Amino acid sequence: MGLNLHWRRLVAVFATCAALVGGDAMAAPAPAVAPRPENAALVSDITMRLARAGAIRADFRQTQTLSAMKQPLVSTGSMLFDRRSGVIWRIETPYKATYVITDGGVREAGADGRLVASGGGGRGVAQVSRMMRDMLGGDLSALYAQFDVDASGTPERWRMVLRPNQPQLAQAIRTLEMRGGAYLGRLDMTFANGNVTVLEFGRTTPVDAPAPAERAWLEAR
Amino acid sequence: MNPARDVIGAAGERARRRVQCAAWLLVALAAIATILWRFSGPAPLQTNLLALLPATEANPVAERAVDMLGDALGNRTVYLVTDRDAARAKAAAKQFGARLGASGAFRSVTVEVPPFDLSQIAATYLPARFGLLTDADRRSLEQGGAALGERLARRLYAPPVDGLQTAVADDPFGWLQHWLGELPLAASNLSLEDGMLVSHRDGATGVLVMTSLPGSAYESRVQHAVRIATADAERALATDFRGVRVDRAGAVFYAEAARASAERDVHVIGAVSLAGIALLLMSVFRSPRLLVLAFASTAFGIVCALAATLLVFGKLHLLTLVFGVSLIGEAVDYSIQYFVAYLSAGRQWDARRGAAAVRPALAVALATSLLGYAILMWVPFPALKQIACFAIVGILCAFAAVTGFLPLMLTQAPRRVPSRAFSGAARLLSGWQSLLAGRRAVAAAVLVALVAIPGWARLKSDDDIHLLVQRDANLARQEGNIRAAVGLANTAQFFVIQGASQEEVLERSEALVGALDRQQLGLIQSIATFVPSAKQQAHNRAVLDTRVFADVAALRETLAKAGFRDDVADAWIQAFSRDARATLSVDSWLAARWSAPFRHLWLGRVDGGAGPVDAALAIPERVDATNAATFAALARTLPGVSWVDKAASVSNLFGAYRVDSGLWLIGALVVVAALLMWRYGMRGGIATTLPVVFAIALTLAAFGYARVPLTLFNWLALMLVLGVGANYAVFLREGCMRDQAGIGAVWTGVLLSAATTLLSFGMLGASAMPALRSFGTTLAIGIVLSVLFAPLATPSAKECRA
Repeated sequence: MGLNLHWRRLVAVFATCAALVGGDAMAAPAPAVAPRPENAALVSDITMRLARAGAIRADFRQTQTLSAMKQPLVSTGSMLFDRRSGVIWRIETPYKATYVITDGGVREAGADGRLVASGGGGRGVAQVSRMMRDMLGGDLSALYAQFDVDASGTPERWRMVLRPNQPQLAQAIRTLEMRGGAYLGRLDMTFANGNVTVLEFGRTTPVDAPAPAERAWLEAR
Repeated sequence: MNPARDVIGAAGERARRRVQCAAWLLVALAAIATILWRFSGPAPLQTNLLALLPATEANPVAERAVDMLGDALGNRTVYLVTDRDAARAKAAAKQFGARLGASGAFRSVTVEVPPFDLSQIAATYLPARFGLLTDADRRSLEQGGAALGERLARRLYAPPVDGLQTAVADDPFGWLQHWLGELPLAASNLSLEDGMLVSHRDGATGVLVMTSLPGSAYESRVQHAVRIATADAERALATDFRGVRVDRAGAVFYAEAARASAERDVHVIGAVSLAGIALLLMSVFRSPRLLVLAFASTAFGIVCALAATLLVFGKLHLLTLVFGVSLIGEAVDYSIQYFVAYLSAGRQWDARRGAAAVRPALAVALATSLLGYAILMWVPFPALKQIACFAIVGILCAFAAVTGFLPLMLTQAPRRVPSRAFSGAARLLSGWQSLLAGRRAVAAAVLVALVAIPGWARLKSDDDIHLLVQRDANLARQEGNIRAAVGLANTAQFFVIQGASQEEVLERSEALVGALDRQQLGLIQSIATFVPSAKQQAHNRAVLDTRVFADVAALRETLAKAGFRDDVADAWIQAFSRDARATLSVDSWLAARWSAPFRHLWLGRVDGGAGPVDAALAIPERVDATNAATFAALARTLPGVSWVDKAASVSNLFGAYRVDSGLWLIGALVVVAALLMWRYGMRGGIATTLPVVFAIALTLAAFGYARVPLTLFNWLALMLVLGVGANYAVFLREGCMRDQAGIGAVWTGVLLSAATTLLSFGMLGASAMPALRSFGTTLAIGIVLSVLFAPLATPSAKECRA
């Protein structure tokens, strides 16, 4: 039993990232674990702001700096984040693909619009997605339980740095740095092995609801 | 008459009596010493409920697997501390764990799990990575699906699909990562928060507290310590964290509960039947001396039975313990018969002749009882064998004590004879007899048949395993809570795969997993999902060799185009040729630290009946009534694979033996009838058998009318009804043949015997164990009816005179 429990922590990290990428980190009821007093108000303000939109669309640009690569890997595309059901991640360059991330896992939308299981069995992803939903519906205590949170700036122009406060998490992640205003603008993930992934979001707009086709994907079992 | 010779004779007689008494005492002391010796060591009580179950699997490997899995899970306990407030649940769990840890009752208590290096998992597989491909990847490569360049792009840019990430330098295409993603590691609903294992369900947070025991869960010392420690920690929690719920699961709790309930049964049945028997005997015989003698001979039987059972079996089942207490009521019967003869002889009493006079009656009664219990011996249930052994030794010794020891004690003629009780009984008997006598017996038979047949038509049956193994309902509910929160794997039903070598076991496991996949029967935990067979690994390498590494220059070009540094690409390509021989083996997997929670899947080398074999388990994640049949059918089609469903096997066995036991009952009836005919002649034999036949017929009908489903244990109890119930008819008939005038005394004896037996066996009906409850109710009904019809057995006046 012991192991899958440890493994959870890794999953929790992905969940955290996914949630943050979604730009809707956490709605904020009163935190159970007392955060650092000087920035608690700002953190709570930021998360509340991010939680406001039910669904948003944005363009993204992802830059991965990996030690095994000659140069950074850049991909661009657009995404839809729906607070209730999940994320649709459309990559435009360097290749075209659409990924649907829900409680059921990560699936890829084929050319005919049908969803197919992506890559591995997707067993792990069901967990990722579920954890992500937990975090979204959840509270700041989950955030503080995993990270030391440092926030600076104003609610209109803020910067938040998350450092794992537990050794398990620190094995995978060094820091998460988020910047933004009304929406999340940029996320820097620095991994323990030195690799860095930067996500930049632009043209973020709130939407009332996903398009019917997208809704069908998100709700497909 | 020479007075001197008489004196010498009397003196010699006294000396002989003293020697004989000493011999009886010696045997009793030896038996007591054996019991004390056994109980002074590790407690000889068997509290493992599963030990009651018979060996059901034809395959010895399967039986072994059941034992090994039970052992692996047996010495763990799990608590779940739940509260609506997450922080409060965590704080409560920490306190609870600290309290348990401080108690010293556990070998270890874990609330906060130590950090774990996830890369260990990948490290185990990395050397053999070129032999590890998921079915999807292998198929896609074989079919020449997407170009390698496109595969690389997906690996590098797609959102993280798999939980365990590998470095792109070691695994550019992500094949190992996919493979790791398919490991059945996360079959649970737990997450890690603040270093604790936490489950969120229905708006409440549950925190897991895991412990391991310092010894076997079936040792009373361990059970006692765990109970005290748990109660103490729960008390502390109740004051400091009001409203926090604690659920628990573990074999130790079930064993504890079973032992406690058996002890309660023993106390209640023992106290009620002893007090009742004492009261009955005193009110009829009005002699404390007779009461003491009755209990002495009974106790002798029970003590010898206990000693013999411990010597033969080593351990005593709780079932036997409870049943043993109820045997008092039957063992005391022989002394009652002897006292009746003693009292009715009055002034003419001669100890030796008296014993000789009752011996035939007792011997016939003993023979029928022994027959009933001997049949229990034949049933392949360990608990019933023990009960039979206990009962046979018990009543044999009680019989010996009555015919050998009591004559030594009752040399003086009785001073008082309860003649009023006897004459009252005689009047009662003659009144009842006149209703049954002559032609009316035929009418009674017809009436019995008319009453019984509609009842039989309503009979239903029940073969559930819970007849033998009933788990405490409250504990089962708590375990259900924990299972739901944690997502604990099912361990009651699984496949066992065996083969001549490790490789054969792995290949057969793969065949099983493949077959389940094709039929879409859900996920399964199998050794083959952790360690592919050498054959499979070689095949995977061959696929990579032809599809990926055949043209090394093109491969290098593709990697470079995707952005890989040249040295990284070269290192990976070289690793393929260098690690070509590296094959992951079961042994290296077992050696990895992280495999500990899954090692029970590999049974290793076990005795397969015809020499040692290698064996492994495969445990489906979800088993229900519908797919269990499919699993069983599937196992029959695959070589070396068996489906083990202990509960179903035991239920099947119950069913098979329930049907058989009906036939045995008829057979036993024939044997008893033959025995009685041999002694009493054709007519007398039938008359003496008839009461018990009626009793059995009506008992069955009673169950039909009451709509209580019949179990194997009801049928086995009917065997005892036959053995015990026939006694009453025998006593009555023998009494008549001995002395027609003293029939009142004999009838008193029969009624007393029945009452004592009813008291003790009837009390079994109040036992917490379903098997014993079935025994108890059947015996109670059967015995009452046997006594009621016993007067049918009294010989006609003509026969008596003959």
